Amino acid sequence: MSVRQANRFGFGINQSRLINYDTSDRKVREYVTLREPSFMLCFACGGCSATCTAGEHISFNLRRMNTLIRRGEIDLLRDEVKRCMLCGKCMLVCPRGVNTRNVVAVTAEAIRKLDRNEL
Amino acid sequence: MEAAGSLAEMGHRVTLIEKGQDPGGHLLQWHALFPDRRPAEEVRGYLRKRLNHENISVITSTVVEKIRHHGHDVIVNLSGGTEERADAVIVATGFDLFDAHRKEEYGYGIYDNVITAAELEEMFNRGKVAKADGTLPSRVGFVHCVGSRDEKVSNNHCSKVCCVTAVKQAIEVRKMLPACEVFCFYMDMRMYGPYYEELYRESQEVHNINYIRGKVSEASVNISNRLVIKVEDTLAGRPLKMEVDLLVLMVGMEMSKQGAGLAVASGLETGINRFLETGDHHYGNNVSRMKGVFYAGTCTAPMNITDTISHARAAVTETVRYLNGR
Amino acid sequence: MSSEIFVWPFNLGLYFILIYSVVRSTVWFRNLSRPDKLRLQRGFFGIPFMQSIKEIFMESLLHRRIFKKNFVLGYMHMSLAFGWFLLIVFGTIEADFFGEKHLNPPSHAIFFRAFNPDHGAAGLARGFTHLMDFLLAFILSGLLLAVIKRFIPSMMGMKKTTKHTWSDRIALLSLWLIFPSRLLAESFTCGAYGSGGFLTGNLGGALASFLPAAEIAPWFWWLYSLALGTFFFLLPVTRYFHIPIELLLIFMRNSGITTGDKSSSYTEVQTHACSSCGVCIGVCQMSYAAGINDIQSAYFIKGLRSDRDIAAITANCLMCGRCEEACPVGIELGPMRLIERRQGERPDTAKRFLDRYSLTGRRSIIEREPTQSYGYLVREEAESADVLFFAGCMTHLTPSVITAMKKIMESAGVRYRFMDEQGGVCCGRPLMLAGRDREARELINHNSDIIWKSGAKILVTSCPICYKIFRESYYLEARVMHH
Repeated sequence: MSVRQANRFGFGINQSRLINYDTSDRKVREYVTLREPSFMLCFACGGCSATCTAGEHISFNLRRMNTLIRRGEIDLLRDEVKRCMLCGKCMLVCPRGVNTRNVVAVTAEAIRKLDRNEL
Repeated sequence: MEAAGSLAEMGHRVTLIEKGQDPGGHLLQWHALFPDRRPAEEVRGYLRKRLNHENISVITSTVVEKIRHHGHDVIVNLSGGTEERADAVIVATGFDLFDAHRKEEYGYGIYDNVITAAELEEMFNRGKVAKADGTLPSRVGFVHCVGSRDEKVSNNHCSKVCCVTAVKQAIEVRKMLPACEVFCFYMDMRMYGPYYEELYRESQEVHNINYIRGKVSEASVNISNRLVIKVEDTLAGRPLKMEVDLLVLMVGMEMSKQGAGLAVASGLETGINRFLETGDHHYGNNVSRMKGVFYAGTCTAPMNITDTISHARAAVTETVRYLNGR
Repeated sequence: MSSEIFVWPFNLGLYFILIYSVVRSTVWFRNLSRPDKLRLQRGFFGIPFMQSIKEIFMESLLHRRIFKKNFVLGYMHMSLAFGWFLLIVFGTIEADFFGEKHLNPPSHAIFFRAFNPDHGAAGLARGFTHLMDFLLAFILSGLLLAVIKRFIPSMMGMKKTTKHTWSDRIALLSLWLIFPSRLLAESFTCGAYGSGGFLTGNLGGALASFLPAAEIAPWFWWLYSLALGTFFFLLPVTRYFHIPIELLLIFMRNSGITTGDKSSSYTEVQTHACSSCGVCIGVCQMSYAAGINDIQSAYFIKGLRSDRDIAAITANCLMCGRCEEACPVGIELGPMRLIERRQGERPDTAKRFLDRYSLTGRRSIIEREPTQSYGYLVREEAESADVLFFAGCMTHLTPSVITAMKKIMESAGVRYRFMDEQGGVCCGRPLMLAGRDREARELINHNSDIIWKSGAKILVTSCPICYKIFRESYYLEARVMHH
C-alpha cells in the first residue's frame, strides 16, 4: 500500500522498500541515455567497480550507480556521484565498451538539473 | 574424424589432412570431459576407431592453404606445394584458444602461478596440481570470460563452454586437493547443456566450491609473492580483494589461425566474430557459399564435443546430398 | 543624383561595417583587463607595432602559413586577400589621381569605371586600366579555385571543408558575386564606350557586338553594389568577420596578450577571428582516424559565436594540440576549449539572428559549484624514501611495467617506495582536462602531502599523463622523472 494509504490507517511513515518500477522517476535515466548512449550496454559485470580508484577509499560503486539509475533510485546517488575522480580507469576494463567516465559526468549533470527542475 | 568415419562407412573415399602430428585437435589435451567427468581418452578412442577404415587415408603435419572450386572438383592446395582434387571438401579446422598474454592485467606471463584452463588440464593429465615452485596451492581462483564477451580484445562472442569447464575443473581440483579452497569469479553461469546445471549444483553441494559474481579487473602480487586479485562482489555490492595461490584463466575460443588464413586465401566468408559464416544459421549451418565445400565443428562457432560430433554428422548429410545431386 | 543611387547599398554596407568594427573593437578594448590594456597600448606604439604590420602583410594578405601547407590553397587565399587589397589601393590612387577632386569618397574608387566610362585611352591612364584589369583577373583566378575547393577539397590538400550555416552561405554567395559582377559591369560599360583594358575592353567589345551593352551595364553595377553591401552587412555574423578582426588579434597577440584561464575580450576576439578555413578539421585525429567530422575547432568556435549548446563538441576533443599548431590565424584553440570546459553547463539560448550583432558577447564568469568533492580521502602516514614510484591508475592494468620498475629499483639499490601500490589517488590530470581545476587541486594536495612527507628527492612516473601534471601543476621539491 502507498504511504498515503498507510497514514490513513494511522501506521508509521516508513516507505516501502520495494522498488516500484512503474512509479520510478525515469528522467535521469532518459537524460543519461540520451547524452551517453553506450550506457545502455552495461550488463553489470562489476569490472568497473573492481578497478575503481575511488572505490578503494570510499563507497563509490559505478555498477550499483548504473543499476540504481535504471531503477530510478536517485536519492541514493546524490552524494555518491561526486566521489568519482574521473580518472578513466573503468573505461579500460569495461568489456562492453561503455563510456563509464562520461556516464558519471552526465549523471552528475542530470542530478544537478533535476534538483533545479530543469529536466 | 567423425565426418571421415561416417563418409567412409557410406562407401566414400576420404583423405583427412591434419596440421599436427595426430588428428584430434584440442581433445588430445583434455583429461576428463563434462558433464559427468568421464575420461577424455574414451572419446579419443571412439574417434580413432572411426578413423580406422580402409576408405580413409590420413596426411599429417600438413596445412591446407587454399581451396577453390574448379569445374566439378574442389582443388586443395597443401603446404609443401602439392595439390589434391576432391569431389567435396569438409572444412573442420577447429579453434584456437585465446592468447592470455593479451589480457595483460591478469598477469599471464608476468607473474608465476597465472595459468590457463588448458594448462590446468595438463596438470590433471600429469596427476599433480602445483604452483610453479612445486608446492601445493591452498587456494585456487578461476576467472571466467577471459577473451570472450570482451570488446577490448575484439571478441564480443561468448565461448559457451568455459563456464561448465570451470565448474568441472573446480571439482577436479577439489577432488585432487581436498584441503584447497576453490573460487570461481563469474559474470554469468552459462550452464546450457544437459546435466550442466546439475553439475553446478553438485559443485556447490558436494564440493563446496565458492562462486563470486564479478569480473576480475586485475591481478597483482603482494610482498609474500602471493597473487592478489581485485574484483567487485556485485552481489554484496562492494569491491573485494583476496589472495590466491593459483589463478586459472578460462580462455575462450577464437577462430584458428590456420583456418583464418585458409578463409582469406580461398575467399570463404567469415562473420564479425571471425568464425566461418555458414549458409544459414538455422537450416544451413554446414554449408558454405562455395560449391562442394562444407563446414563441420568449431570453425563455425564455439561448441562442445557432443555438438561438434552432431555437427560433423550433419555436414556429412549435406555432403552426401550434394554428391548425390550432381 | 539618380545615376548614383546604385552606390548606396555599397555605401551603407561599408559605413556600417567600418563603424561596427570600430565600435566593437573599442568595446573589446575597454573590457580587457588593466594589464592587458597596457600591453596593447605598448604594442601599438612600440616595437611590436612593426612586427604586427609585418605579420599582417605576410599572413593576412599573403597567407604565408597557408602557402606552406599547400601551394594552391595558399595562392587561392592570397589572390583573394592580397588581390582585393591591391585593387582597393590602386583603385583609390586611380580615382584620386585622375578624378576631378583629389580626395573622393570610397564609392568613386570602387565604381570608377561607372563614373568615368571612357577613361583610360592613352598614357598613364591606360597603364592603370591594364593594371586594374590584371588585378581583377588575379582575383578571379583565386575565385575559380575557391569554387572548385568547395566541391573538390582534395585538389587543394584539404580533406574536408567546413560545413556552412545559412548565413554563411548567403555571405559566400555575395562574396562570389562581387568580382564577376564587377567584371561584367566594367565590361559592359567599356563595351558601350569602346574603352577598357586587356580584359574588360576585349570582353566588353565581344559582349557589345551582340548585346545592348549600355542598357545592360547599370544592372550589373547594381548587382556589384548589392553584392558588396550584402557582404558587408553580413560580415559581423559570418566567418568573414575575420578580415577586420584578425588585424586586431595580431596586434593583441604581438603585444603579449595571451588566453589565460578565464574567458575575456581576448577569447572573444579570437572567436571572431576564426576564418572557418577548415585546416583544423583535416589535421584532427578524430577526423582522419575515426571519421568524426563535427567536433573540430572550427565548429567549436562557430558554436561559441552563435551561443549554441556545444557541450558535446566541447567534451569531444583529445586536447592533442594538432589543430592549434596548424591554425593559420594562430588562435589558442587548446586553452579556449579548456575555458569552455571549466564553464560547465551553459544555458541553452537560441540566439535570434539580430542578437548575433550584439556588442556584448558572452561574458562568462567561471564560478560554478564543484561537481566532485574528495573530503573522504584520508591523509596517509607516509614512510620515508629517497625515490617514490607513482604508477598511476592505468599502469596497474599493465603489470609488466610495474614488475620491471620494481626490478630496476631493486637492482639499483635505491631506497624506494611504490607510492600507490595499494591503489592510491589519481594524479588529477583527467580532472583538469575536464575543466575541473578546483577539484583536481584537492587530489593534487593529497598526493603532494604524501610526496612531501616522504622526503623523496625523485618521483618516477610510468604514465605520460601523470608526468605532465606532476611537472606542471604540482609544486614539488622532488625531481620528476619519467620511466
